[in-house]
Amino acid sequence: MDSKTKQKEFMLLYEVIHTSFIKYCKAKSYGIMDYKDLVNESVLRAFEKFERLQKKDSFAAYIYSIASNIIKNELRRKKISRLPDNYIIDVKQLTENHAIQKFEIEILYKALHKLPEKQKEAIILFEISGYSIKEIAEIQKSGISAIKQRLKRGRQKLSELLYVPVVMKEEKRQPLKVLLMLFF
Amino acid sequence: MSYKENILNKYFFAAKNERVEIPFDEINKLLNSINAQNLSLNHFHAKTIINLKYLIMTSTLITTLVAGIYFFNIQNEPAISDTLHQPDISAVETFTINKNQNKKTFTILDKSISNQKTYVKPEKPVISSINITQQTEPEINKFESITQLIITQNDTAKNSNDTLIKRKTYKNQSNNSKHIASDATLNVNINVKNESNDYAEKRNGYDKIFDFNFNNYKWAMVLVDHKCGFIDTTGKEIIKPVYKIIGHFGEYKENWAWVLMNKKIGFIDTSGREIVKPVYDAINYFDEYKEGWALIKKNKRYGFIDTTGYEIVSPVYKHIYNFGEYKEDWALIRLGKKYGFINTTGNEIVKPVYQSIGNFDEYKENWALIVKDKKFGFIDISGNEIVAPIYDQIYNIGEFKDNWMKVKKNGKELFIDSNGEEVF
Repeated sequence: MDSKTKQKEFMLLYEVIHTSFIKYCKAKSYGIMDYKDLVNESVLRAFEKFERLQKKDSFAAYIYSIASNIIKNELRRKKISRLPDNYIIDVKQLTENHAIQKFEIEILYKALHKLPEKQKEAIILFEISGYSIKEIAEIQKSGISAIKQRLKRGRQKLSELLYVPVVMKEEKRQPLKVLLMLFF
Repeated sequence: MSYKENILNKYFFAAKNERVEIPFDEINKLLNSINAQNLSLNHFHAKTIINLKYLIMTSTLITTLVAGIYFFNIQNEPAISDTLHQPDISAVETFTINKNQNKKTFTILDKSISNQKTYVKPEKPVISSINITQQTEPEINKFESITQLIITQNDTAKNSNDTLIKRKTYKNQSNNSKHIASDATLNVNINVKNESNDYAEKRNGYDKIFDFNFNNYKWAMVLVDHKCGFIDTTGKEIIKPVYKIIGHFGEYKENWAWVLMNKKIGFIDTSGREIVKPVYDAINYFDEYKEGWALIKKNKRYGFIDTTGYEIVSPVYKHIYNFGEYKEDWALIRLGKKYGFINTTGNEIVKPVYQSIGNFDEYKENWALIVKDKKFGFIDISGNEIVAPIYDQIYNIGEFKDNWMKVKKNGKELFIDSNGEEVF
């Protein structure tokens, strides 16, 4: 394949997923590496082996798996098992304007890293990158019900993890029914 | 959708709508540059590695040279001075004080701080008053003495009320010269204050100042020692930088923002006043349980604050259930394993002394079954014990005679009437 044709074809497929992919990279690389490096390296690797991709429909799955592998290698290299326990963001890390908005996003990213790998990926793809469950099933090469389960459990755990200054309501109590059963 | 879900979605919304900082064109340019150089990726990597090789070699050489010079200097330096082994002292304050007539307290005449540099830290305590509780030496003639206290605070004495103070007493002599009359270490009680009003004046700049674009207020967030606060455009500190996190204004209530200090939550308003001191583990949104009230949690106990920040129900209850579940304007409370009710003024209308409380109107209109020490009784809608909990068993009203209820007490069966009186 001519290199120009290859690039054109590649960019056509890539254009569709550009925004989602960058958001994915940003969430996924948090605390591990610079997300711009991740984007560049993933694109380069994907482009290099682009000819080998048989089904062009599965381009998304292809490039996401490349990014995922790069992160895995980086983790192995740096031997980061997980991020520090403290999920309340350190104010020291705020370096730019719009501190508060960044605050929320960074709190979310930190919390995300406490989820299991597949769960985290599913949540990022669904909630941040905006993919449908069916698409995520293709990317993660899993069944739809498995993805649903991952999303559900991931959301549950995230709710617990995210620091929310709130008291949850207690469950309603129904003591009388038990009492009546005792009497009669 | 539950509250938790709402919060979660808020976070997702922020992440989803964040601006993408890498434009699409940049990716195209990246590939263009690869194509233009006609480099395969492997080639690209190989080139980087070669460059890296040179980089590593040069840096190793420089490091070796620097290390050599350093060690050479160290060896020729004189021995490390003893000051390095001194304890970590953060502030030394010297007070010149005058003994009062009651001979137990002292008035501070003059104060000097010998270590300014480390003194300027917000979390370091500032001494507001000194009260000597124990004297370990004989009294000194009040006409002769001017006593100097040298207070040495180290980092571990943050909140200590018992800091050791070295006390030197100088004896005034006729020719104005002084000599040390006594030198002793005293156990004293020092009231320490965590914040000082003087602090703001002494502060010399901030660690970081953000743009003046916070919400609708022309304020800038400032950071000091990882704590945030706000200044206005005149440079006045609207909110002192003592909080770990400051939330959005208006999230809970108009002009209020939640703050986090020492892992506890409270509220400040736009005038910078602490409406609710940061002492709670958690605070719920207002109006969720009752209009104008917000549920609070402190040491795993629940209570309520109102919109003025007043603790309308102290956080002493293990659980507080919804208002109106049993009776309008009443909420079931649990203290230990006992239940009771509070009303909308925050008073305990039924003291939490019952093992269980049934629904109203279940047995008889306006009556609710209560269980105390495994005995049954009833309360009415004013919260009075209309039938004391002394019965072992209670049967339905009207089962044997209209308006009479069969009850069992100490193995004997009897009736109570509609006023709760025993009939026979």
